[in-house]
Amino acid sequence: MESSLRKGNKKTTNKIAEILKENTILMVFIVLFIIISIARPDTFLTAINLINILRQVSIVGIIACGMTMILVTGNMDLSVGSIFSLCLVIPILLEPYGLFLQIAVTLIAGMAIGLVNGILVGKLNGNSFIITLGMLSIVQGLALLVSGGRFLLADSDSIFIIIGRTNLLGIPIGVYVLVIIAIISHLILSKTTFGRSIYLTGSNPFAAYASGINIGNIRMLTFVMTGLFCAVGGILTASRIGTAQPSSGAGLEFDVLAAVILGGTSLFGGKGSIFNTMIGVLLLGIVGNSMIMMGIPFSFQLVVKGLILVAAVYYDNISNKG
Amino acid sequence: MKNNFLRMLSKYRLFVILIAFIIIISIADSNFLASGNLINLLLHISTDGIMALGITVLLISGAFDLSIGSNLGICSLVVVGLQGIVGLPLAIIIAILTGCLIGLINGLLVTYGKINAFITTLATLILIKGFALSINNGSPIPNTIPEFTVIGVGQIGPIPLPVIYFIVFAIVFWFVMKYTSFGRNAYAIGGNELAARVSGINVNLYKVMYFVLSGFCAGIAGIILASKLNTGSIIFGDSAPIVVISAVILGGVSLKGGIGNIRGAMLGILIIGVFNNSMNLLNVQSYYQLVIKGIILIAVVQIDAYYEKVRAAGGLQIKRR
Repeated sequence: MESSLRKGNKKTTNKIAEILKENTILMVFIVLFIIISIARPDTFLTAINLINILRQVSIVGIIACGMTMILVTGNMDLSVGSIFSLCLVIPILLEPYGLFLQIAVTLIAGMAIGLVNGILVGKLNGNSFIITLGMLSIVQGLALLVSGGRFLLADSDSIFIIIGRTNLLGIPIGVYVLVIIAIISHLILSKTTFGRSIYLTGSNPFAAYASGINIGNIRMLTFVMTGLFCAVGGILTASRIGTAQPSSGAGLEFDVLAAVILGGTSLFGGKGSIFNTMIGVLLLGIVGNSMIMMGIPFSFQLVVKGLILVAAVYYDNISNKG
Repeated sequence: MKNNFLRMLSKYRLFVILIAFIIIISIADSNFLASGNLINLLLHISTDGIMALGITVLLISGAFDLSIGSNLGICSLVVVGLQGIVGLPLAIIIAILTGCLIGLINGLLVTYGKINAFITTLATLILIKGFALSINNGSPIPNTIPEFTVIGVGQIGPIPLPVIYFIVFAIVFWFVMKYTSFGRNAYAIGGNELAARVSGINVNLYKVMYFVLSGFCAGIAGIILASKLNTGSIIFGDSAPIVVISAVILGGVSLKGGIGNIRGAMLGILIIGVFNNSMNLLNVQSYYQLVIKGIILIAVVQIDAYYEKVRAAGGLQIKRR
């Protein structure tokens, strides 16, 4: 009787430990949020600033949904920053041809690059790190070529720009897109056969292959979706700021990767969720926001991001062992 | 007969590619074979070549280093920035130590922290860049001591000094990889880490040493480049990872570790050097060059993956070193 009681107690403590362990990133986020709110109640915890943070993270968040899927399959995409740059340039270049073409061509371009990545990695079994490093250079070159290396300016009265600057209920349109894409990605990963195949491909490719999953196709599709999400991010940014600099996506891959890994998605594949990725994105968002408000120079923000990434991967290793 | 020919072709494929390249380019532009251009070509690849030596050893041992570009940049800043304060010899020593220190940090994180080498060096890449940008607000620092330029601009006869350093380094690395236990252990660790550990090799120690070596090479390259260009700047190394890694993999060093040699890596860097030189001679716009460099990297990795398959199937017998 007594022993079973003790067992029960042990069970509950185990459960609490388990919940804590599974939601470490959420706890860190909540604690950090409270600390910053107390430290800066007048600047941080205002509706304007919070909406601002959401808007700032929306692009990283959208791309992070795709990156999560790629990481879950055990791969990596370093070319997202370049794809974003290219998809920033295309809609502004295509302005004379109307809204439909602007959006359609950009989305197709993003998916096409994702498809090339996907074929090289998924079908031809290239090392995704190196392949996408090469693709980073190629697409950056393409973005510079199509724009002529110039800083492009859109006509601020066009429908494209008006849509991009719309606020629904005081919240920018990019935040809605982020929420929609995050929900769709979450549903895909958790409720569909495709999503389960993604996890299985990452955790045990041989078992996936043996059970009839076309792992090449699964890997390819994750890259295509990431390309698509980069294009969405490019369109949103282009239509909101109305300008495009062909190299403005440089380094974006780093923010996205940091957010996804911070969200507990394992580099070894097979583990990760969109919900945790979103927490990772928000966490990096509030850290970045408060660093800017404290007047920390850009160079040290890079240092902090590097440190966060190393720490997150280190934590991932420890928790995988245990 | 046909099989023998194919085997020869596969064994000497790098020579064949290099010679084919040289013939095509000499026909396309007669300036290519001018002695001035050839020396210029060697001068141009000397810093990338020195970094490629370090990376070759590292790749053979099964690890990887993306941070060499940033490392080169910050060492060029350190050597130029400190020479006015501590004097030239000490500045050079500190710059080399900086390179080694970055390698040491990478190595410790990868071995004892057990963090993936790609991610570790991607993080240190951005971390170093952040530090470097905070030096002098990210602007390049001009060199002030005239003697310093001798390192990168001086010549013995018609041959520039960096080319001589490069050749000396290459010979030393070739010797070390072929005839010392330091080199053989890299093959052992890259080929089968568990077997290496069981047979008594201190795997972690050697892995850290290979990372330090890679950082050391990047530091040397940074000093030479700073002297050659008379400035120190973080942007010097931006394209280094892509160029060096494609050259080394082109040279037959496998991403999977355990396979490759210094001779192949040097042929790889020569081929990439000839290619870049010819793109400049033929007036290819730098944006196209970005695209082409990316395509080369991808093509080379795919070829590597193909040979990996052939090797695994036991088809063509490719000499290990």
